[in-house]
Amino acid sequence: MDYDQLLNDFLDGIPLEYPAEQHLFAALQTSEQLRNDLRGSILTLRAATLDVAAGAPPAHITDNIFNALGYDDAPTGARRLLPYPFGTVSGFVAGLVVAFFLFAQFPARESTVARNGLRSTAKSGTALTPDASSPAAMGPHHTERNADARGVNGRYSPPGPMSAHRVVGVQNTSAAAHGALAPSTNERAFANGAEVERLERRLGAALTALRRLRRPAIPPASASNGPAILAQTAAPIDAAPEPRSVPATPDSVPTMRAERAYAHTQQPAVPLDDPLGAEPPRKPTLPLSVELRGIASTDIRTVPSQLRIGTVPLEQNTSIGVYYHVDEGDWVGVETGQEAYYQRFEDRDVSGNIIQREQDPTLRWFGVGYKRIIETPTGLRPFAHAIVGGTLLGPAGRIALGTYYHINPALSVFGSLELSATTFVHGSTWGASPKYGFSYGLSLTY
Amino acid sequence: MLFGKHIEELHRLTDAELFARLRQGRSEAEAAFKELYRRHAARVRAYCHKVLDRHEDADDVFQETFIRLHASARQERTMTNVVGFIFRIARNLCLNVKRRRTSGEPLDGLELSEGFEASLENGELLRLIACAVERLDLHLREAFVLRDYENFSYEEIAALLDTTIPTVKSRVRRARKKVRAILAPNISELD
Repeated sequence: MDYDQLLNDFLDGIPLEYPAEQHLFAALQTSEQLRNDLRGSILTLRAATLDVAAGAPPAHITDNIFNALGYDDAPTGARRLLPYPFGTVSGFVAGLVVAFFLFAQFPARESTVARNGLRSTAKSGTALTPDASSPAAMGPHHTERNADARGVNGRYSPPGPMSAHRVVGVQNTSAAAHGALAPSTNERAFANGAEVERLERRLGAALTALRRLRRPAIPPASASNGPAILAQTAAPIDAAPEPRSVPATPDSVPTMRAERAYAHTQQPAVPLDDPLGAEPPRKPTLPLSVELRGIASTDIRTVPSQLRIGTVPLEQNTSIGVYYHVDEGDWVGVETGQEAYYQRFEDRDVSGNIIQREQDPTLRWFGVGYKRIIETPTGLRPFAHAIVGGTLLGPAGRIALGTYYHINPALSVFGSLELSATTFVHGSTWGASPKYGFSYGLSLTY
Repeated sequence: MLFGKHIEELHRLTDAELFARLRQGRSEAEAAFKELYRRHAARVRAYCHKVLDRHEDADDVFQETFIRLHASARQERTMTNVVGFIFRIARNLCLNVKRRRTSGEPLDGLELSEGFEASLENGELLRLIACAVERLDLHLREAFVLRDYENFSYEEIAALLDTTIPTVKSRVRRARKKVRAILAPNISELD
């Protein structure tokens, strides 16, 4: 009896004849060598199955192939909801939005620059017009932001078509008269001005255009308001407007505001120890906030990730959202992020046997979010947050409870505990991938 | 859900139907290629890694195999055995690599590539078996891998290797015997 042949037939799944089977089993009882052969063969087959199952190509190899063919990467059997470049484009757009908001979050610094630039010219004895070398001369938006941030004598002034140049100039005339700042500070201020100028040039015309969207519109010149507009935009800072030179019509409102602003300058000067006055609560000029979130969540079943879908490494475990201030404490917006989600599902191997498969693909999710923020007198602002959306594979959701910490009117940091889940479908069976964790980040309000 | 139906539709298609779709529009071709890749990538890669000693070569061949599969779809042909076709591409590429390395590679220091070992508990067993497979002659190794790793039938292997079924059976049997012999000193420690 050729036991080796019987063993091969057994391993190949060929049914043995009854006598042959009896012989084989009898031989296995008596021969340790044969038992070892059988054990070795079975182990080899088992290892081969495991080996093939573990042979899923690494993500970078899959990427190489699909990139070479001009396709998207990492097939998982799921259809993409959004075209391939979205991840890249979203990253670019997010970066642009963040850059814009970051740039716009320096009102105090720029106002200092503008103020100091003006005051410097005052000390030199020239007229209080924006120095050509100072950032205040860069354009009207600088002084607008100055007025926006500080207003007159430290009061908050809502943006409007008043003469920002004039307001700033007069205010700083007052500050200059008291010698509030030393020349060295001025030098730093001019250095800052140069920096701002450099930053602005770097960010280019796109940001300038964006910023202009929030500039107060100056009404078109007409016979009735032309002098007023000229007074706002072109007159020297120290040149007081001609009182009542324009009829009190709606078109003349800018001039009237300018006059009221001028009147404010007649009030007591800002204290010397705080030339800027107290920081007033800053109301958002646009009811928008941008949030950058880092996500540290986990699933006890997590397995090493072998699949990637549209992965952008820098965006791993992060999200970015834009939220709109609907009402007191209520914010709605959109958010997108990228995380790995554990999946476990039944599949069939090459032999048709049902097996359990695990994978941990990185998925980009998108969603609409609602946030309820509770204002408190302290710097802490508790919030509840919910996002409903989806990934490339199915619906997804996220809830979080946490708190903001108010660093300044424009900047908050936050932390929250969160639960999230994605769903996926394999064949006709749906599965879910729940996670829990902690998220943290920055919130820039503008 | 729409994408659920889409997935099911792809899963229902045969390999031949998917291969035919590679000649259609970009989106259809892309979906078909992804499905073919999903079905066969792990097997093809395992084959390449078992047949070639160097894992860098194996991954290169694996990538080239699927790129050539895609390119071959441009030619008007009726494909009935796509799996066999893929493995034939892989085999030819592996043989090319083997021919370029006629001097042979030292067998010492054979290592399992990342992914073949790290994610498995049976790392030691896999390492032993991998070393045993590496020590087989190429014609035995091919038959053994295609039979025990890729689960091809003897008929399919014979067609793939351009030989007869009895020859394949003989090679598989001899290969198994050699692998067992290499594993024998350690077999009692493995379970």
